[in-house]
Parts: sequence; structure tokens; C-alpha cells
Amino acid sequence: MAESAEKPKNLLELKGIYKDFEGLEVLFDINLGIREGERHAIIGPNGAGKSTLFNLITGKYLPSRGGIFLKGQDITGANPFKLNRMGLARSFQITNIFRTMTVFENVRNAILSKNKIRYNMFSRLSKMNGINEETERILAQIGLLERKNELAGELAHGHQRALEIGLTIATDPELILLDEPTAGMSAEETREAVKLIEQVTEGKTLVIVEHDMEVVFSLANRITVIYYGEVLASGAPEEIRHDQKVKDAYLGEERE
Amino acid sequence: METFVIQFLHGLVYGMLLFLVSSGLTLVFGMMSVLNIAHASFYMLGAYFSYQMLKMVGNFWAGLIVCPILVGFLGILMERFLLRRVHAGGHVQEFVITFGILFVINESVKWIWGTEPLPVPIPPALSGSVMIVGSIYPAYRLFILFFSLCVLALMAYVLLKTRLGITVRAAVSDRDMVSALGTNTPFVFMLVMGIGTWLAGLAGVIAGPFISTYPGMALEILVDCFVVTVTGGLGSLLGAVVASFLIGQLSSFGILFIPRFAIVFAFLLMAIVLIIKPSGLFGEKA
Amino acid sequence: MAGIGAGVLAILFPYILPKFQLRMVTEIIIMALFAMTWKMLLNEGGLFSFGHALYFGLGAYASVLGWLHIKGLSFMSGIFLGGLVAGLVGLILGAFLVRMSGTYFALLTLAFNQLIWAIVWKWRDVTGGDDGLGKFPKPDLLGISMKNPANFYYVSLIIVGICLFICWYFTRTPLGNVCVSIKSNEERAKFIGFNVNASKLILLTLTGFFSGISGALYAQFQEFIATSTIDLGMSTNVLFMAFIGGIGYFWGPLIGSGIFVYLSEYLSSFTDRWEFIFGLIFIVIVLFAPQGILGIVKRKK
Repeated sequence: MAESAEKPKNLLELKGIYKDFEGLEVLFDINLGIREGERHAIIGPNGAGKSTLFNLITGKYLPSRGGIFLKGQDITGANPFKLNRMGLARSFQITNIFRTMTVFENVRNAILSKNKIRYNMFSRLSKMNGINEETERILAQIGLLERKNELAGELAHGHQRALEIGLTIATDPELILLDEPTAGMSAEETREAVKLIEQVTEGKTLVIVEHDMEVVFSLANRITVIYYGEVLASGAPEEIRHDQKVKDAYLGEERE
Repeated sequence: METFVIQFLHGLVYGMLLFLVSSGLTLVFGMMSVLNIAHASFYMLGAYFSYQMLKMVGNFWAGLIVCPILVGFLGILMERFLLRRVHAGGHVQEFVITFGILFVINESVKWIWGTEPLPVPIPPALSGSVMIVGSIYPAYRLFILFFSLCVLALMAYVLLKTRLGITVRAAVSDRDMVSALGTNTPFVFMLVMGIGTWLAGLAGVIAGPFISTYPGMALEILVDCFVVTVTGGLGSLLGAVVASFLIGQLSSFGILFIPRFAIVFAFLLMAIVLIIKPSGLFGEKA
Repeated sequence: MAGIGAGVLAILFPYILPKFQLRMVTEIIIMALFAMTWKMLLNEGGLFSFGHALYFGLGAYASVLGWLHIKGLSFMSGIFLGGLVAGLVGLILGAFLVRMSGTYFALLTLAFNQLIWAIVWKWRDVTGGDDGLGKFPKPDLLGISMKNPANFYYVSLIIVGICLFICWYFTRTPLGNVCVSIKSNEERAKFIGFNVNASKLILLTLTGFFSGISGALYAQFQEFIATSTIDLGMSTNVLFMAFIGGIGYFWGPLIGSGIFVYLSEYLSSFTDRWEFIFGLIFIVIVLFAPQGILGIVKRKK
């Protein structure tokens, strides 16, 4: 209990996480600590359990064993909106934007939430200038200001992914979880995305699941390799690059 | 003691009848994710068809075989020509259209057979009584009980032991897997709907001699049916069995103690179950 | 422009319409509010209510019992009482219902509707059972007699108008926006930090309140209420009204209410089986015009 007096060492902590689905074991004894300001990449072959890990952190699943802690508080199985209010935000591998709303309205949702304007039944949205300005600032950051009145569902894939990231960071979270942000992108789009991610996550803590090794090595200062549900290796990029176990298991394979 | 046993039997009989009606509804939901609100009217059709058949042919047992099949066939038609076009539109459209079908069938029945209750005579073979713990108990009610248990046993066998059954169970717990199996979904849907409505029709035929046929019978059983399926968990046959049993007993003893508001017990049970487990006793999706 | 025309017409109705027609228009307006709340629940909350007559009926019974038993209860207080009771029930039930997924929610609303209907039916001492309640006071409003159909029409128009305005305004507020985003993408709304359950609960309470108001108004309009005010038939009626008008359009419920009132009036003089026609219309709408009448109109443009 003495710990609660001081700031916990890790912003996000996974202790002894096991997860099985109806007897099929997916994750074994995962212990992971993410420090504040860290830029941590989680890599591993498909089916290794990376998405499950994300879903565990964000409360979609409950671990079979173990606990998850954010700023020292137990968030195992917590409701997503509580997580958001504690400073955690995530993006989705399959674009999960508000398709039937405009780009502007999408980002404005996040801005409203950030400013704790959620139950207000009296103000007129269109007249909330502060909100509108903030929204436009974020839109400019993600390069979608000109498209602000377009329907999100009708954007090109690359723009949708940018909006996806925009939604994630607009609530000004401390901990940002990105789930394969460059999935399905061309080389050009990927470069743009990496630049964007660097910009918008400056000064924050970033955890990113990725397949594209170039992205990983340009963004991350720590890498954890998950292989068949276990942590195979964890450390600085250079260590991982030269780790024999990792080379044998993963980096040796051709990734698209 | 006597009263207790008799009431227990009453509850069992009613419970099994409820199960018979609800099983089709929950099966269809489990396999197709479709809530067929018209389900209760197929139950009613079974009863009316049986009445009609008895009038024309005079044989209850023939009716027992033929009428449910007729009803099942109507269910297939409904799925093929009405519901199929609406599945893509989402639950709201499915609700509304099955609602419309419920009304159309309800009113059609009134049109064809009138609004007065039509008595369905108990088949001669079962019209006697049996002595149970010193009380006279109608044999037909016991027949309902045993027949329903047989249907339940048959269902259990099919689901647990046959390939069809295993596929059905897999489909209920993982809908995506079904398309991966390469089965012809529209055909499967028609089949499932047919079986579901067949079960409803079967229940209707059985219920006829018990409660007679009247136009309000669909709406009356509708809510009980929903309460059973929700409490048991939408899509779960086991849940339907357990819930039907419990609600049957609650209704039976409830009427004994607080006749005016006996219906409250079933709702209380449902509410309590759902507070603890929002997806019902054995329901999957929470 | 059409709006101004309609507004002028609305003001002139008592002068240009015969008494019977005026009564029908009054009924249409009252039911339009009821249908609007149902549509709001679906459109803004993504909630399909099968037992909406619960709130309407409770509003009616609460207000009537108020007028019957509370000496000197004024017109507006009675209406408000109806709304309040219905809203409260919306809140309490909602707290339980809000956690349920779509299909369970729909079934549960039906179940609770039936439960309360059964209680109303059996509790004859208080509610009159299926004999209903009549002969309750129709107090003046600010000295104006409510027994005059033109006066009653104007008051209903104003009350419903205010409520409808609030419903419209709601969509332009941050809370309304939260509801819209939940409907658009519930999962993402949660991750953005919106408390989905709380928002739905507020919506349920609000729609309950407005339904109750329309129920109370309806009671005074009919000068009589019975179990038909709270039964499955009434729940179906509101479904019909909202759907046939077009659930995606603001004025859909008003159009739907109009069609419903006229249809039920004229059809029931033709045949006892007019519910058959309703069922048929349901089927036809879903298959050929899921966006209702207004949907057809918009398509033709």
C-alpha cells in the first residue's frame, strides 16, 4: 500500500496475464510494464495474441488470470468510457469511425467529451465556438480540415485511417493504444501516417501493435515480441533486432 | 400434500406446454438471430387447423401429424417470401414485419372461424382420468406432459447426437462459422423457420383440447412465451426448458396464493434473473 | 414556406373545420407527440420500444386519478402530473432496461407493458378495470373553458408544439449529439468517453415524460380512459404511426398520426377487421417503403 503514496513506476502494467477462450489458451503469463512517455511496439505473427492483448487492456475481455493496472489503479474489465476518462484511448484495426456523421462531427464528439460536455441539454452545438475551434485545430492536424463536411463513411481509406487516429488523440489521452494503424496502406500512405502519429503522440505514451517493421523501428523505443501467446523478448529496438530467438521465430519470415 | 402434488402437476403441464411453444421461438432466434413475433399466431393456427381437421375427418391423431406440417409449411413460405427480403434491413424491420404478420394471421383467423371460442374435443382415447395421490386427474393433461417430454427428448437426441444437431449447436454459438462451413444459408433459414413454426403448430394442436381455440390465444401466450425465452436466454433450448418449468410452477402456485396478480410472479422471476445475468439463465450474448 | 402555410392553417382550423373534423385534428396532434417520442427513442437511442403504451397509459391514468381524487387539481397540473409519473416510471424501468441489448430490450418493454396493463385491468377499485374511468373534471385553464373544442384544440396545439420543439431542440444539444453518436457507433462512442447507459436512460426518462403528457391530454380529449389506453393495441398503434410516416423524418410521426386517425375512423365503419388492414400495411411498408410516406415523397423529388 506504500506504493499508492508515490507515483507508480509504470503508467500501464500487465501482471501475470493469462487468457483462454473455452479451453483454448491464447496468452500465457504476460508481464508488461509501460513507462510514461515510452513508445512501445508490440509485434508478433498473426494469431500470436496481440489483438487479444489490446482487447484485454481495453476491457473487452476479462483475463483468466492476472490484472491490468493504469496509473496504479486496477482497470481489469473496466468499461471503455471509464478508461477514456482515466486518460486511455485506442484506435481500431478495422476503422471504427462514426460513419453516418461528418468528419467535423466525428472529431467534435471527441472534443466535447474531452471538455466534459456530455449531458448538456441546453446549449446549441452550433454556437459553441470554443468547441468548434478546437475541433478545427485537430482536423487541421490530421489533414482533414477541407473535408470537414464530408460523410465519414464516404472518405477514401487513407483519410478514414487518419480520422481514426484523429478520434483517438482528440480527447487528449495520456496513453494511446494504436491497433495496426497502417493496415492496408500503401508505402506512401504509411509514411504519411507515421509522420502524423509522431506529431500527434508527441509527449504522450504510445503503445502500438504493428506488422510493418519499418514503422516499428521508426516509431518505437521499446519493442515486445509476442510469439504464440508468450513474451518472447522485450527491450530496446537494437536488442530485439539482434536477438537470436526473435530472428529465428519472426524476423526471418517474409512479412508483406 | 395432495394439493401440492396436484398444483405441481398443473405447473408441470403448463410449463411443458409453454416449453413446446417457446422452443420454436428460441430455436429460430438462436439459429437466425430473428425474433419471430408472429410465432404465437402459428401456435394458434395449429389449434385452429386441428379443430378444422377434427370437424372434417374426425381424427385427432391425423391432425396431430398433418396440422403442424401445414403450419411449418406456412412458416417456410413466410420466410421465403417475406422475411428473406428483410433480414438485411436489420432487426427493426424484422420486428415490424413479423408484427404485421401476427396481426394478419390473427384477423384472418377471426374472419374464417369467427370470434367465438371453438371447443376441441379431447380424443376418446385420452378422455378418461387417472388417480393421482387420491385425486382425479384428467388423462389428457398427463398426455400433454408426456408428449412434450417426448418432443424434448427427441430434440435433445437430435441436437446432441446427430450431425444436423451438432451443426445447429455450432451455428447458435458462432454464426460466422456457419457460412464458413459452406452451407446454403437461405435454405437453412427456411428449414429452421419451418421447424420452429412446426413446433409452434404442434403445441397448438396439443393445446386445443386443453384450452379450446379462441382468437385471443395467440396474444395470451405471446407474452408468456417471451418471458420464458428471455428468462431462459434467447437462443438457449436448455434455458427454455428451465424457464418454462419455473414459470409453470410459479403460475400454478401463484394462482393458488394470489389469484389476482399471479402473473406478477413470472415477471418478478424474469426481472431477478436479468438483473443478475442480463442475457438470461443460459443466454450467450451479454 | 410550407411550414408557414401549415402554421397559418393550424391557427385557422377551428374556424374552417366542422366540429367533427376539428376533433380529429386535435386527436392527430395529441397522438403525434406520442408517436414522436417513440420515434425519438428509436432514432436517437437506437431503442425499439414494443410497449410504449405503458407511458402513455400511465400518464393518462395518473392524471385522471389526480383530477378525480385531488380536489382542485388544475388542468395543467394534471397534465404535468401525468407526464411526471410516466417520466418517473421511464427512469426506474429505464435503469433496468438500459443494460439490455436490442432484442431483449424490445421484449422487456412488451413484458412490462403487459404487466402494468394486467395490474390496471385487475385493480378495478382504483382504475375501474375494463369499465374504465370517466366523469372526471375538465378544469378551466386560466379562466378559459376547456370544454370548448376550439379552446381545447389551441391548448393542445400549444402544449404539443412546445414539447415537439423541445424534441427538435434536443437533437441540437450536446446530449442529443451523444445519442446520435451512440446510434452511429456505440462502441466508439464508449471509447470516446460517452456513458452510453446514462445517455439512454436520460432519453428513456424524457420520452416517458412526453408520452405521459400526451396520454394525459388524450384523457381529457376522450373524457374517458380504459384499459385500451395502455394495452398492446395502443403500443401497436404508435408503432404504426411512427412507421408509416417515416421514422427517419422529423415530421414523420405527425403524418403517420394523421393517417392513423383517419384510417381507423373510416376503416372501422367499413369493417370490424380493420386491424387486418393495419397488419397488411405494416408488411407492405417494410417491404416496399421502409422509410414511410415521407420516404416515398423524398424519393420522388
